[in-house]
Amino acid sequence: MSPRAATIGWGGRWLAGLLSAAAVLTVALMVLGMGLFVVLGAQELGGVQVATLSMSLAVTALLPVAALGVAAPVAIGVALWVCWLAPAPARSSGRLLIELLGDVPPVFWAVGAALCPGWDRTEVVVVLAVLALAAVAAPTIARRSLRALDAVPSSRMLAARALGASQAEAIVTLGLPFARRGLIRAALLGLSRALADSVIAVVVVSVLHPRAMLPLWLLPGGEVSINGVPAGSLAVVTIWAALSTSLAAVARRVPR
Amino acid sequence: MRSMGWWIVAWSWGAVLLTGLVLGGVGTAVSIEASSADLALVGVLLARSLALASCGTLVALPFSASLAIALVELPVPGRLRRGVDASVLIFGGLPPLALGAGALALNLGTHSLYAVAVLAAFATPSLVRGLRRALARARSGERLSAVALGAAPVQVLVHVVWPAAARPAFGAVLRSVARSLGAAAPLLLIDDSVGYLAVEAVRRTLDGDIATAAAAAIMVLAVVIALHGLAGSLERRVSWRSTS
Repeated sequence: MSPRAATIGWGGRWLAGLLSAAAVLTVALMVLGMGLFVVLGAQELGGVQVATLSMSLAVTALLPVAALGVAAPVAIGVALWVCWLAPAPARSSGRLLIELLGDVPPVFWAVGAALCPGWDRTEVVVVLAVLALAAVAAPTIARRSLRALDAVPSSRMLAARALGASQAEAIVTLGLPFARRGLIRAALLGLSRALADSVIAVVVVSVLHPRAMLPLWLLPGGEVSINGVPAGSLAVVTIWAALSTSLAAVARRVPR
Repeated sequence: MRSMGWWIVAWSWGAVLLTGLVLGGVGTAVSIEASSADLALVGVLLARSLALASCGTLVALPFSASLAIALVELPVPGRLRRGVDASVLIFGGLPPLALGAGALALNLGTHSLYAVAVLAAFATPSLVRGLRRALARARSGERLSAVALGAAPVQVLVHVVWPAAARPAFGAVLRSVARSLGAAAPLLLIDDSVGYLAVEAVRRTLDGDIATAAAAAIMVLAVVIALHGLAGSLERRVSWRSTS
């Protein structure tokens, strides 16, 4: 028994159990509610909205994946540079900049995308949406990648250098394989972040240029609704939420 | 190599300064283009949003703090601890818009209280994580010493854990307020009566009023960065003290 456990009485144990049960119950109720939305919305999803739905889901799923493709190489490259290649004084500044970028609210990138010229062309709109999402995801990936790269034992890197390997060889043959799982985890968390925040980019950019893509909750209202909200829209949002959450959960289950 | 490092430092801080100047310039241009009534509205909405974000965090604080204390200080059984961790993870991974959609479907109304409830739900997972990290700052040696000297759990919490965790805990609260302030998605689905600056930025963009939208977004960004900076300085001050 740990020293802390030995000093806590039954009151403390009850309190701990009660609070923990409240947390688990909250999530269980949330999951039940989400299931209810999906069941009620299923009638609508099977109807006339299939084309709209498939387009919405495809856009919602593809935009973050494209954003990951842009953000992950840049963010991991920056993390590599900050962790191993940058001169010592630049490392703390690099870390601070990454933290600073991570604090920028997603709405700022969305409005920034709207300020860019050429948004009235479909391809430009899609590129802007991808770039906005990449800007949201990149700091998350860089921050997590830095954590993974920091975990590589410096003694091994020094040993590799002492044995004659160049800095690049030490990174490629030793550092990256050691941090591989952490980098995968970082990329998955970045994808989850992009998926969760995709709504801002999708809404802003799609309404600026309606032909480009369809925001999820503007699915045409159907006969079945929950408190005035179309059940189909709720079901889609629920599926999307489950996708994003399970991606985050999977990412955190990746061993370090 | 060393001088190159200083050049890079100077370059990065120069980039930050330049970004600030550009943002300031855009802000000035926007403030010239946007009407004074719109700018006054932005100011009022900023104050209102700060109040709502703070209220949301304060509402979430008791439960989050209790949960963090329970997880860090009390002997929660391993299985239950894993369950709670998973719950916090699931709740934290939810897209912000899903919270708003769920609350809308529950018909909580469009009153400000509804916004506070949604923001409290939004803030809870990050608050729990931040407060857990803050509580973990207390050294286990000091904790064990206090226990060995006969301190009760509450005394350990008040006299050993809290002094070490106070500043990081305030930092976590500030970060939570900043995160809530910058979040537009949870409140995007309610009507205009709530009045939230980040949501207003999105709405103005949709309406084509880019000048006011940019003013609102820059204002949100400035306050969010300032809050994060304050939180960071609080945490750094603690680490400096603990190493001295």
